[in-house]
Amino acid sequence: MYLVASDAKNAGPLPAEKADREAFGWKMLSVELEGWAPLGPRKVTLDLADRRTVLIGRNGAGKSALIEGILLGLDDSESGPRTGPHRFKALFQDHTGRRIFYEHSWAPAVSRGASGPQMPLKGQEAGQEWAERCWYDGQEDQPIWQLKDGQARIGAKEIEVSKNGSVPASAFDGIDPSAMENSDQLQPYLFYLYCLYAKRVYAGIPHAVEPKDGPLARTDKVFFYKDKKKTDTAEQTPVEWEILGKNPARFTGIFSEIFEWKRTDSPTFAEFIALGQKIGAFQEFEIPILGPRDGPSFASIDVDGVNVGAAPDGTLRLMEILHAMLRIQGRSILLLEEPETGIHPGALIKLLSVLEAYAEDRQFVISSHSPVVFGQVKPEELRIVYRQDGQTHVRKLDVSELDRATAFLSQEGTLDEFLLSGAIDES
Amino acid sequence: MNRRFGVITEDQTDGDVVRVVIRRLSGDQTPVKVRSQKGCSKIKAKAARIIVDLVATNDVSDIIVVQDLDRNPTTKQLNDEGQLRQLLSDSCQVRSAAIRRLICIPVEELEAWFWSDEEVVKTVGRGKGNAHPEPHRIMSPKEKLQRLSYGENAKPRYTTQDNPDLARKLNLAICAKRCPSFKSLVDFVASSALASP
Repeated sequence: MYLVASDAKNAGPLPAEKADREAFGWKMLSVELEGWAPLGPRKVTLDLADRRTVLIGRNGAGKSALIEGILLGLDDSESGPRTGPHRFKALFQDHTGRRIFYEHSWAPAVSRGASGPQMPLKGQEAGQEWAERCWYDGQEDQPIWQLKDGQARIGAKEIEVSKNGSVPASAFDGIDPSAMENSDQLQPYLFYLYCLYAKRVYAGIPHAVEPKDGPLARTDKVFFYKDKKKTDTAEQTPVEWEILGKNPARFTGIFSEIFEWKRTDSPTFAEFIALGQKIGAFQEFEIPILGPRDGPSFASIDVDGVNVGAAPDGTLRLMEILHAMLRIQGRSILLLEEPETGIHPGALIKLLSVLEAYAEDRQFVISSHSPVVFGQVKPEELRIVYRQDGQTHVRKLDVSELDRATAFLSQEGTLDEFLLSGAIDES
Repeated sequence: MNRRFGVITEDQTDGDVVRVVIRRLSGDQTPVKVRSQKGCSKIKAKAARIIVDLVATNDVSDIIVVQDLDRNPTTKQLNDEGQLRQLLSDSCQVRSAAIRRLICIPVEELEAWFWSDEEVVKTVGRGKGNAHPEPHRIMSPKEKLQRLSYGENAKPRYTTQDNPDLARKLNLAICAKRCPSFKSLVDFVASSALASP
C-alpha cells in the first residue's frame, strides 16, 4: 500500500523496543513472481531458508532476474506499480509465528510512443489496475486490508483511492499504531509503516561502473567538499558536503553514506570500521577534514592511507557489502549477487561469518558461483535455479538429496565438491 | 624436550581456539601447528597423511583432532558420538607408537565451551546473558551467541572470528568442569607434560 504523501510514514512509529522485538522475529518465508518476463511466462516460487538463502545455477538460469524481481516486487508494494512483476505474492511470519500473506497485482497500460509501445512511468495512473491485499494464513476470504477497483478497505473503513492504488494520507487520520500494539488490527498498518526493506548489491566492483563522463580512473581521488559561504538560494541554508570529481552513482552512494555516518557520529561508523578490520578489508579507515576555518573544507576518505578513489577492487567490494549490510535495518532483506568477486578466499570466509552473525534480524539472499561460498553454507540453505523450456525454476534439495549431501559431507568431501560432481544437476 | 602439538580441525577458528588453550596450559612458547580442513569428511580422509606430515616436518609429538558432533539436518538429532570417535580413531592410525593422540568431540559446536563461563557470555552479550551449567545440551550454541550479541550496544556483533579472543578469557577450570570434551583436551595437554619426550 502506498500513499500520495510520503511523509505519512511518520504517522506513528512503534516504540523502539517493540520494533526491535518484532524485527527480530520477522521473516519472509516465500515469494512468488508472475508476469516477470526475464523468468519466463509462468509463476516462479522461491522458498527462503531461515537465515541465508544461497542461489546456485548456471549462467542464464535466472538468478539475477529472480533477485531483481524480488527487489522490484517489494519496492512496488511500497511505492506502487513500476516495472516489477505483474503479480507478486509473499508469505511472511511475524515475531509470534503468525503467518501473513501479502499480494499485489497490476495490469500495465501500454501506450504507443514514437519508438513503439511504451510502459507507463512511475506515477502515471492511466490503465494501471492496481489490486493489493493482505490476509492471515487460512483466512484468504477475510483480508486484513485490500485495495481493489478504486476502493480501499482497512478494517471497517472504506476509502476512495486512485485507480493505481495510491491512498490519500488523510485515510490514516486518527490511527495511532502505538495505541494498538497488541491488537490484531496493528498488522495492516505494520505493512504500511514498516514494509519489508530490500537492498540489492550488484555483482562486480563499484569502481567499474562507468558514468556518463567516463570511467573513474584508478588514480582519481575522491573528496567531499563544503563551501561555508555557499548557500542554497531557495532555503538560504549552507550547502552541505558535495562530492568532488567523477562520481559513478554506485560508488558515490556508498561513500557518501559512510561519510554521513562519520559526520553525524553514528555508532554505525564505528561498527563499519570494526567489521572492516575483522574481515581484513583494511587496517585503518580515516576521514581527515582539511581546510581553513572560514574557507572551503575538504574531506578525504582514506583506506590504509590511500584515498578510496585509488583503493583496490577487493577492498571496495568488501566495503560495499559491509555498507549494504549495515545500511539495512531489522525486517529487511539483502540481495547479494556474487559476493566472491574480487575477494580473497580467506576474506570471503570471514565475510560469510559476519553475514551469518547479522542474519538474526535480516535475511540474506546470495547468488554465487563460488566453491568457497558453497563450502561455507549448509545444504538446506541452497536453492537450485535452472532454466527449462524458456522458464526459470527454483527448487531446494529434496529429502533424498539432503540425505545424500549429508552423507557426502560426512564421508567423502565438501558441499562444493558434492555440487560440482553433478549430483543434483537438472539434466 | 618440549612437547610439540599438532592440531587438526574442521576450520581455522577452531584451530586458533585450541592453540590458545594449549598455550595457556603449557606456556606461550609451546609449538602448536594447526592444520584446518574443510569439513569432517576431509579430516577422516586425510588425518593419517596429515599426521605423518606433521611428524616429519614439525617433529610433532602430540596430535589433537577436533571434530564437532553434528546434527542430522533432517531429523535434528545428534549423530552417534561412539561411531564418530571410532571413525576418527581409525583414520588417525599411523605406524608410530611415540605419538600421543586425542580425539576431541565437542557436542554440536566448539562454541558450546564459551557458554560455560559467565564472564565470556557477558563479554559476548555486553553484559547480557548467563552461563549454562551443561553447555553441551545447548542446541545451536554458535547461533545463540550471535543472538546474544544482538542489540544497540553490541556492535559489531559476535562472529566466529572472535573465538580466539574469547578463548583467552575463558575460565579453563570452569569450562573443564562443565564440558566433558574440553576436559579431555585439558587433561591431554596436562598429561603431555608428564609424558616422556
